[in-house]
Amino acid sequence: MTDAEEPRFRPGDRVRVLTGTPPRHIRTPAFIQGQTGVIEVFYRAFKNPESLAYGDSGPNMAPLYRVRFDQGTVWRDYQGCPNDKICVDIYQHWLEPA
Amino acid sequence: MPACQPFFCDNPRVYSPREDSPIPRTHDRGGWPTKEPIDRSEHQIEDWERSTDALQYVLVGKGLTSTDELRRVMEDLPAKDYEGFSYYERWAAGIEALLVEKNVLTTEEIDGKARGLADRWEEQ
Amino acid sequence: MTEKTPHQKSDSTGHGRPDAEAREQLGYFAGRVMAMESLLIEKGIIQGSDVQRMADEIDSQSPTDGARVVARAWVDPDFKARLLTDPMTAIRDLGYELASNMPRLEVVENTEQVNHLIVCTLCSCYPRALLGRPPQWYKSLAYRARAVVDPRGVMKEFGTEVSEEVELRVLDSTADIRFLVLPQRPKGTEEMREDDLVKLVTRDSMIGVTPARSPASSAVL
Repeated sequence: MTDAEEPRFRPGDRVRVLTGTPPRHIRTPAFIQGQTGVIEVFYRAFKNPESLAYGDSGPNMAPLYRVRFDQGTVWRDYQGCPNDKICVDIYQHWLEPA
Repeated sequence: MPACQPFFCDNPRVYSPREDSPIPRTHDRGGWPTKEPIDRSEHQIEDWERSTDALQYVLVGKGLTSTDELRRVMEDLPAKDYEGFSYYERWAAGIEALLVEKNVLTTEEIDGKARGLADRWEEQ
Repeated sequence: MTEKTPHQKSDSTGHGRPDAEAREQLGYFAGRVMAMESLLIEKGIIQGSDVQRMADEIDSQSPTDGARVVARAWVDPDFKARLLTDPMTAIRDLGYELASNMPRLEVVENTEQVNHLIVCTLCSCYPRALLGRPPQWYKSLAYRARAVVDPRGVMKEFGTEVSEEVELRVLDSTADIRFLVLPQRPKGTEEMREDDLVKLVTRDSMIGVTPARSPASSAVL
């Protein structure tokens, strides 16, 4: 495994999602960018779809996590209940320690 | 990348992420400011939609295209097409863009064949 | 792409062309797809029967597959435990063929404390292997926009009120995972056989917008 494939986070770790909506294929929705959440699950490394979208060029493998966020912190005016969560699957290269 | 998409600038954000959230691209719909009710009516798949759906899986199975590539070309559709096309219209446009990009087919070939098919269709 | 804008535009619901016209005229995109398929066959890139065979195979996938998995999990605690920890193996053990290159499935369990709702905000990711093709509403721009920010409001439109005591978890399948909700077993079904339980498990209950049917309501159907 290369460094890029090695999981850097464990369940329970707090992470922040990086920002950027370049005009190319990315898998991290804008609404969750910049938000801070908690790693819920580490799945495994997958072939990086952001490379596969361009015929498998660029970085190859990407560890994937399910990251859990409080709805109340994600939206300015969330109308649901305080305990509600949003979970988004995010590749490691979109995450930094928080 | 325009600094601001008109939709987001001109409409009050009914729902919105925080002030500093980036402006999403057209396909990136999570949290877009809409209160449009969900149309829950069931859609009976049309023959051509069923073929479009299957064609994509056949092409992926042959290693000619990938799901990620199809998503990329659909995301690159002009915003008015992305929003105006139906689901399988987006797929059809995406499959064509990919086959042309990969030099499997040319636009001219597809134009010619489609014209021929349309003429025969009208004769029936 | 712009010069290839279809002559007929979709109606406001975003699907279907004007029916009468569509029958008389080969629709723009229908023509493009037929043309591409014929050209690919002529060039020997695909076989004449490939698309039809694939469509038949896709037709054979339906929510009944998912319902069988759910019903088994309701009656067999060991299976349920495996389904939640190693869903691919558990589902294969039931006799389903899951291709090794298909997206990985995860099953999330609804309980008295936690309910789940599935969406794909970027596209239309869906556990096709167990539910078949996604319904129109799941792919709609409205559902993709609202499910993450107004999940309780969306569920209300499906007739589902989630108690304020319940933690509602929205799962956005943005990547390589496809989610299936394991709905709660309805009350009053303790005596029911597995085959009958299958009928209570609807497609929508496995996406999370509704609970499984109660035996009383399904008797009417």
